[in-house]
Amino acid sequence: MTPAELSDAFSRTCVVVPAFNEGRSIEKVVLAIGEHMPGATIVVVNDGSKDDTEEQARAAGALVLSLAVNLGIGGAVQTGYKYALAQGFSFAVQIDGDGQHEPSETYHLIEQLLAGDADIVIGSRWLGRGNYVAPRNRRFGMKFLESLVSFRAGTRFTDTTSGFRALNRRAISLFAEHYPTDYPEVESILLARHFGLQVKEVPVMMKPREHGHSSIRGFKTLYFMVRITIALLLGVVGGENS
Amino acid sequence: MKSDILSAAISLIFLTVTIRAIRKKQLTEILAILWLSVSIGTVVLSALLPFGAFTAISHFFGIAYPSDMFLVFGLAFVALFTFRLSVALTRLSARQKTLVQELALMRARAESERPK
Repeated sequence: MTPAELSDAFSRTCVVVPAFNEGRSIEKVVLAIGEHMPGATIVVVNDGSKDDTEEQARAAGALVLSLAVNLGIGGAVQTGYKYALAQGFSFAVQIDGDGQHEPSETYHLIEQLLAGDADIVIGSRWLGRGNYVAPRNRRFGMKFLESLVSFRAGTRFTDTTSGFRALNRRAISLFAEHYPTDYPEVESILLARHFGLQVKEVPVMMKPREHGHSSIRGFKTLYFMVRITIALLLGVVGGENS
Repeated sequence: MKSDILSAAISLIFLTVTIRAIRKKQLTEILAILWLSVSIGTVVLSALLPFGAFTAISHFFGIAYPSDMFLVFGLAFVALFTFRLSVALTRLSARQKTLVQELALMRARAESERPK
């Protein structure tokens, strides 16, 4: 990929950053995206934050889509895809607002899309790049989801909870229409496969989160696992709630 | 005998509450019809209570005790109804999600078009 091709791709890319009470890290995230993806349009979806996420994101130069009430990560990310679809972007990249994802790594995702190898490219922590270590109590759950998704998809996936992904136009249209609500990362892989899209993983580096906590902890972890397992086994796709 | 009066009183109160709610338009049409039938049904049943109607009906269904029949049908009704409500709630939250998203997108468009 030549630098000219890359910069052309960036100019046709919409970066979707879901953010809920990320006032402390959002500015840094937006600035880092601007630095590593020159020409890309940065859209921060403020999911009904109670802090100054919206002001911080705007000050950093992002376009902010503010949800009047909290919809959860699925609804927030989907808003970004709807925007990308309506504005005619060729690519969309999802980067979480908590600073875990490295914007410098999007290069590897976009590259695959340009090559036409996949409709969705997911950045995986576990394919050798970087030295991200999962919190001990998460490892079992991550392994479990990995084998469940790989089983259902018929291909091996290593990082099913990764929210670091790039989509081409075809995938943007699908997710603007159908996107899981509660814990979308895992389910959306199967959703995409169900609609005949190619999903691919590439190795990326990730940082441990800087501020705040994962949205999933305590009893929620159990709820998350049960909910996802049901969704994955019953293959809930389509419908008004998607 | 006291229990007959008690059940009649309760079912009449239930009917009054339902009618009030309907007149205040607190129920959508379909739910109004449902609750009106339920409350009229209970009034009729409690009026029939002194004549041993329950025992006859429960025997007809092969249930030994009239109170058990109440339990079975009551639980079935409640389960069915809450299930319907859950489906309706899911549909509503899906619609709400779409509306909130549309609102955010329109607000962004309005802001971008506003003369600076």
